[in-house]
Amino acid sequence: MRTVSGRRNRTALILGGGSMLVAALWIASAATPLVDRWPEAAPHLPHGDSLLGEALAAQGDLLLPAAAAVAVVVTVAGFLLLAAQLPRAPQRNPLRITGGDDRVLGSVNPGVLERALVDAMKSVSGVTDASVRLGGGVGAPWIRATVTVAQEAEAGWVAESVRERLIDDVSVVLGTAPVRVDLLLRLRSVRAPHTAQLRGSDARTTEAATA
Amino acid sequence: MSANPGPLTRRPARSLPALLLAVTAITAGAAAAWLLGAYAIDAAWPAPVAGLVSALAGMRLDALPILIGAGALGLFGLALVICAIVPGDPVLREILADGTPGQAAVSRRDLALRVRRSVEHVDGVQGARVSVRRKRVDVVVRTPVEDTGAVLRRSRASVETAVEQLRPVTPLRPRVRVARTR
Repeated sequence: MRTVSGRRNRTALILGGGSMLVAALWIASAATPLVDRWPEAAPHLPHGDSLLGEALAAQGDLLLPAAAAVAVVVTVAGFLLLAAQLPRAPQRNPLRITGGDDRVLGSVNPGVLERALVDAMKSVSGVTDASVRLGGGVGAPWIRATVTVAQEAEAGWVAESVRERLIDDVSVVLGTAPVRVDLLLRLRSVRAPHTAQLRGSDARTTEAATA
Repeated sequence: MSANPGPLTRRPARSLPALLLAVTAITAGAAAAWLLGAYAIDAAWPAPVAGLVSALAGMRLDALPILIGAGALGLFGLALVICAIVPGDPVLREILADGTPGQAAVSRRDLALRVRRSVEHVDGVQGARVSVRRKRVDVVVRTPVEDTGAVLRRSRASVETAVEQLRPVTPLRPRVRVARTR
């Protein structure tokens, strides 16, 4: 299952939105009598009676390079944030199977194990499609699986069977039980039929009966 | 070590506001970089925007267009901050909790569709609209049948069965209403 980092997005939104808000309030303060009320801050506040061009020119020669640098940084940050919206699957790495004295006996590509687990999940009745992600190393593996459950199957039973099957298989292969097994169920729900329908097996029985 | 994937039922990632912010940042940043770059090289503003720049430079800081621009910027910023702070309703709902470590979850959309399809199988029901709220399932059933009481009773039983089968960890109370179609 691929996800987008919500924490990163929310941080970016607070930083971006907050700086826009502060900038807007700073500009809008030119129309308020804030400068008269608070003379100490006058050098840092905009004055309503000055022209925009003069106010910028008063900042000296440093303004142009600083503004150009800020513009480039903002553009790059925008591209990075845009790239962060592509959903990513959780990271995984090769599973190193070690002996009793921590000597590496062999490595397993998680992809190989994942394919085997997908086949095992699909063999559970009621599961029409499955995918799985295995990570965390041999010492503390975690599993994140997605299964599509048929309409007529009992979702509770399917979920329980799939999770048990995953725990058993991973425990047998890696020697340690997974620390967590997350399962996303996609429920297939079929529309109620508007006309009378015979299922395939019923139709054959009927044909056999009439023959 | 691999990153721990975190819980399944997390708050929404706020992709759409982040996308808006990213596009705004790219547009504004690229436009500013182009303007300032052109000014640094030619020592003059580029021809297409020279008029606009001189008009802006001659404007007082408390002029109406500048205040309107500041207001729009402030509102946009405020909206983004609110999006970041408000937790939002998780897209996935945890169901079927048992002793196994980890979570089983189903999307709110799948849950609503399952309830809807189940209600649609009830006799006398023409159609249904289902929305899954935080602690409630709202179902509006359309029926042409005059005896709406019976339809309501059967629909409610059907909704309860569909929800009970999934055993949501946060209990969902069904609220069923019947609308008569003419």
